[in-house]
Amino acid sequence: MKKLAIIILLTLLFSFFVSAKIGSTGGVISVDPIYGTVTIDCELFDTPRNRIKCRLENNPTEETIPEPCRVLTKKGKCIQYYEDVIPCYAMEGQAKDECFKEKAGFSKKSIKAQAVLDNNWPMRYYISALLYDLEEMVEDAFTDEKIDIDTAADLIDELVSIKIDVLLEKPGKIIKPRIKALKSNWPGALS
Amino acid sequence: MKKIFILIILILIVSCSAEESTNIQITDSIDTKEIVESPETVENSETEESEPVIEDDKYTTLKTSQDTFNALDEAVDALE
Repeated sequence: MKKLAIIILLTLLFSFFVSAKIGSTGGVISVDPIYGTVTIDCELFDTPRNRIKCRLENNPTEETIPEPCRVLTKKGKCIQYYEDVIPCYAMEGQAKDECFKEKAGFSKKSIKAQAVLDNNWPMRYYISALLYDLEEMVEDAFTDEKIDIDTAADLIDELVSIKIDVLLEKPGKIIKPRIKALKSNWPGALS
Repeated sequence: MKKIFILIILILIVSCSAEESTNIQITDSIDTKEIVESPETVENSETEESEPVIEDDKYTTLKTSQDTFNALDEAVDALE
């Protein structure tokens, strides 16, 4: 009886600490009854920023729908593009740019030359890839402890939000000032 | 004596005018040279201007965040 009371008390204490870490913005914690491992479902957090922060903290292995694709009516094409472009991030320099452009559907090497032929979807996918490139830099900087979790979550949230505008076919005059603001708030540790 | 004196003066005048004529000829030849050369120069510069601009169609180097921002600026400017 005494042992049972101690176990209950320990379980309550443990759940209190986990809850305190996550906060009260949603999310689900499940404890494996056999192994006692804790699984946190970041998908159930209510805002993109909290989901992003949860993923940064817990580094979940399960693949989820990319944040920008969630708001689109044609999610499938967006998800496919994200899957296609992933190998490009292992590249560097001109090879990375070539890979981004190829996956985005460019038929020319330069932006100027491509814009003459088709400046809408290939350009929008390319911009998304570049924004995701910045996102990778933020994640790496967080992993290397160059920036704290809140700075990383804020930057990624803003990058995701700009990507949504890009994929919702918002005009350049709306996207341009957002990128300018992002650039001015870009931490020196990431340059 | 008087005739000799007039003859000398005439020779001097003729020789002076001949020298002046040579100078004019040199200047003329320089002017002509300039005129002859100028159209070529103009023609060359016109040819350079009228040639179609060859598109610098090459990939961008993406290494730093600044490289990515530069590519972003260019791509956003090119958007519809």
